[in-house]
Amino acid sequence: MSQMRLNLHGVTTLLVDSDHFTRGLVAHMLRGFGMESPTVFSAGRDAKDYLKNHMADLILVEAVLPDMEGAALIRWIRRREKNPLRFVPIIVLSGYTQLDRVSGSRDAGANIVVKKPLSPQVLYDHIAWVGRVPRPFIEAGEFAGPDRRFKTLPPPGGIERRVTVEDDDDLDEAAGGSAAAAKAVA
Amino acid sequence: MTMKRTYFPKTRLSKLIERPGGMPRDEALASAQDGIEEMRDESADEIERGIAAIEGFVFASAKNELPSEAMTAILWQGDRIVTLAGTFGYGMIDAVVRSLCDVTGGLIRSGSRDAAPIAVHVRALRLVAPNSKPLAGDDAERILAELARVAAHYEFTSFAQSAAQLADQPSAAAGLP
Repeated sequence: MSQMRLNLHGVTTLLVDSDHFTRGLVAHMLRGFGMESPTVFSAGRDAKDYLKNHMADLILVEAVLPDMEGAALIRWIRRREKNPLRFVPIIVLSGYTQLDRVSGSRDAGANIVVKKPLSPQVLYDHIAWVGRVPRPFIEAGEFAGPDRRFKTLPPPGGIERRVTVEDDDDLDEAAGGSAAAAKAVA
Repeated sequence: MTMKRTYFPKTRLSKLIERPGGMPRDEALASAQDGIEEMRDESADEIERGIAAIEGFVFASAKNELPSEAMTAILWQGDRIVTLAGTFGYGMIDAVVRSLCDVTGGLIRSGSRDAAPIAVHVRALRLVAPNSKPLAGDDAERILAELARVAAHYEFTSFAQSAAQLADQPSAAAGLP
């Protein structure tokens, strides 16, 4: 059986982590996978400033940053309406003392949380997963992010009416050309 | 009434990785591992610097008490040493520094300024540091047993236990899908 093969050449990454050595480690891994050198920041505010004028294909963010929770940065990204940035896959890197931030990161709209220490296998497989497994993007109340119902999570609370959006040019463009649908399914 | 909207975006990452070409997984992992190995020597120095930084806070403590800022800084240093030790396979350092983090986190949560349990861990860290002499006989087990006794005395919940408990709880966010 042939093994997985991903073409990661040209994939751009934004890496936000407070520790310079960890940033170096992750950068080595990404380059080993054939990706571009990541754009790196240690603080959430700097990452925000960068993202106001730049795009990334993948975002890796530490669960706790020196100036904000990683979840706050993720929420800001997910609320960038009419901007394809909001759909970007986000992987949260959680240190040992940050494990209690897992649910907060998930609730903020992260695609997945990965525990440090990172191995190349773990990082590669998670990049493959967020790139290859399609997940709808959900907006419901305070939440905006990838649909989490691929897990056995309870049904949404307080949602009385479901709407999908169809043929919305702005959204279609923001989604990178994908079809988005619009139908009230009350 | 809460509205729910669903989009089906095809991300640029999804498009790029499916292009022809690229390298097989094993090759990519080997290449990444080579890159990490280049940092092995540097990692030992980083761990040494981290331990020295923690020692600095403890040695500077007055009346065997640490200010909360120092505790927070120790926790940050401990967290990064866990990452380094795990990445480069320093098993003893990993065990000792996780215990340090658990105790320090517990002290912070309880509002205690007690430097003593941190000092015990720092002495243990120094014994197992990359540039220290190899431990003799069953010293490693004795060190870990002593740290376990310290942790048991304080009865703090470890970060791993906290995370497991949280994972069992439903999401705190309202209206989540």
